[in-house]
Amino acid sequence: MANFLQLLVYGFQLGSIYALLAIGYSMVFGIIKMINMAHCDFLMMGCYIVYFLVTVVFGGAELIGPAVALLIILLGSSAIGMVGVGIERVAYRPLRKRPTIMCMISAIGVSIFTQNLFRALPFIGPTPRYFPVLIEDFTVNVGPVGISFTRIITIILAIIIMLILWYVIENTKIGMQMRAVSNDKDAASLMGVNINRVISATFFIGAFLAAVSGTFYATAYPVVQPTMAVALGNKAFIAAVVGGIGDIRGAVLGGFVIGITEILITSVWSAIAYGFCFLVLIIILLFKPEGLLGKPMTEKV
Amino acid sequence: MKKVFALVLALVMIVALAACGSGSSGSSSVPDTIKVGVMGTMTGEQAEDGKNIQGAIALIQQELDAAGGLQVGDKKVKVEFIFGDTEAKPEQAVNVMQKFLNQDKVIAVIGPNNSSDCLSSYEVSQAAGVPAIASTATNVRVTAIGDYCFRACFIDPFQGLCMANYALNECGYKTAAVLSNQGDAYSTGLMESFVQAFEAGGGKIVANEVFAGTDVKDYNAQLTKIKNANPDCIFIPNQNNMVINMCKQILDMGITCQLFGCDSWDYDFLAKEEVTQGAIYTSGYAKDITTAKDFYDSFVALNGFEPGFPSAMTYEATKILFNAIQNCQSVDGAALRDAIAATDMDLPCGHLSFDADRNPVKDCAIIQITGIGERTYLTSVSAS
Repeated sequence: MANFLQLLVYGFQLGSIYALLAIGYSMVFGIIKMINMAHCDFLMMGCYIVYFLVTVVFGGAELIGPAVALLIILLGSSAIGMVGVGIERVAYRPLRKRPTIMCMISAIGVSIFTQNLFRALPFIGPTPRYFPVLIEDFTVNVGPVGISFTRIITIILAIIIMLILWYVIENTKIGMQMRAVSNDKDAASLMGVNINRVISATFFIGAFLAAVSGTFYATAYPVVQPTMAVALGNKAFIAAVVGGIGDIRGAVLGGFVIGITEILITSVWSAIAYGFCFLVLIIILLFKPEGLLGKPMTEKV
Repeated sequence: MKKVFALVLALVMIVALAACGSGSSGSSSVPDTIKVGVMGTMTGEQAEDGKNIQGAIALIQQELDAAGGLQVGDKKVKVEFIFGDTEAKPEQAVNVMQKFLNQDKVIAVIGPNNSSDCLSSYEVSQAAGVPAIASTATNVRVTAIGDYCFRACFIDPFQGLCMANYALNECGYKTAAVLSNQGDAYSTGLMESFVQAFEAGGGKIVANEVFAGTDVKDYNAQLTKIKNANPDCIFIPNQNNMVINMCKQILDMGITCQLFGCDSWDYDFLAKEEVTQGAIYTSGYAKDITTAKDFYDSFVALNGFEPGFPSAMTYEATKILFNAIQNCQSVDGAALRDAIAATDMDLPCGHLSFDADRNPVKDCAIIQITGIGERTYLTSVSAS
């Protein structure tokens, strides 16, 4: 039983990272009905920018305290947020009038290009780098179960972010505009909502979150490489679909579901565990295609 | 008439292994420039290998330039190296091999470094009759593909045996656990040979865990099972980019037993990590081997970083090829093949000769990571 609880904890830890990333996929789909396949690369960019800020500007993590580390994470993630806005403007906005499948293909192109660009840059290169330790990690023992402190923070962070986003979307003006655009883009623009600004804000928030989750991912799995986020992105995307794409609560739920399933199956039959969550996706799509928390829609990409 | 002539020459070749005939062309058969293909994981998750491979070829090029070319018979031949990137994907390796053979028309291929890439691409070179010498591919099936397939390194059954014997005899361990990559022929092959050797020597494998592939970064579920089984040591035969994550998760979980690795651990950047300290691994190359000193010094002087197993093996594979070309004075596939099979030379890692399966008979070094950036050579296990 203790083993099962411990595995459950690991599942939550893994799931929290999928959840943070899945939020970005869900948000973008909810607003512009497009799946941003390049979203995982914001995670990778976030890791690299924090890595360089810490090692180059500050010369190593031993010299900086947690407050400065947090500032660096926020700064780096904001920079990635702006990169997200830039990518949207260059690669997705011109295709907005076209079928959404074109946006998705453009996104795949952006994703592959970004990975190769980062690998080709001489100061990055293909060598995997060890991410500096930003948070002193220790294991908290609750009964027979051990939870890593960093992972506790990631889980709490995922839930807090979800709650903040939920509040923003339900109770603020920009949130209302987001909901309006998500409901009907053309009607919203007729009502005076600036579509471009809303979509840019969505991408900023999505990329910002991905970069923040990237830092936490790199703290738990400290190897940074240009291709590190691809597998993560696939998992987070199907987590978003399983939970109900377009809905943030669904993304978080889907993330935890996929994370826990993966860990539990790994302990039973580890060879198939990686692919098993894709099977879960197929089953969910067969029985509840809108996802666990989604509402039925007539057409989705 | 030409056929009879070629037949007679082939008979002469078999009788006097070192001498080769000039084949059916009837003229001097070594062109002024020869092309050699070099395949490996230049980019991607194992790009560190690519850096080592390129460093070794740069050293070879430096030696060639100093000597004015490769001395074959009484003329100096220019060697052109063509690099191919397998990206650690077997299907990409096949593409690169086909490009080497059809477009570049290389006379021989050095590499790839991954067993999986060799297993796929050597089918092509074997069918085309072009000799290929793998650098660090240790899976036993690589040379079984055909008589044109060679390798410069030891094979996994030998490596697994060495590690298992070291664990049993030198360290006195009775139980062991293994965590291997099911998607990698190298990792799985090593796991099998280690398990077989460990159990044959009287030990007990208490946990044999796998994970699905390179994409998996979280090994906590498997490590929990390993921790519960409480082994004396854990054998981790995985590629370098995954080792850091694994060691960190092992330490985070509170597992403190001895870690054993394999030749894919032999990298400067791995030894610099705190999480890998104390691990012991096997390698075909160690800088403290007396005969390797010159190679080490020249490599560091030229490239600025310490060589590892992939650099040493690429260097040796190229040396074997050059030696063969010099011996048989031909670039014909069959002649080269026979000359390589007859190799009997001294290389940085010791004396090398090939056995009947085209695998080298050479020693295995045991190395321990004893400090940040420090790899200490412990001992050598010989093939006999």
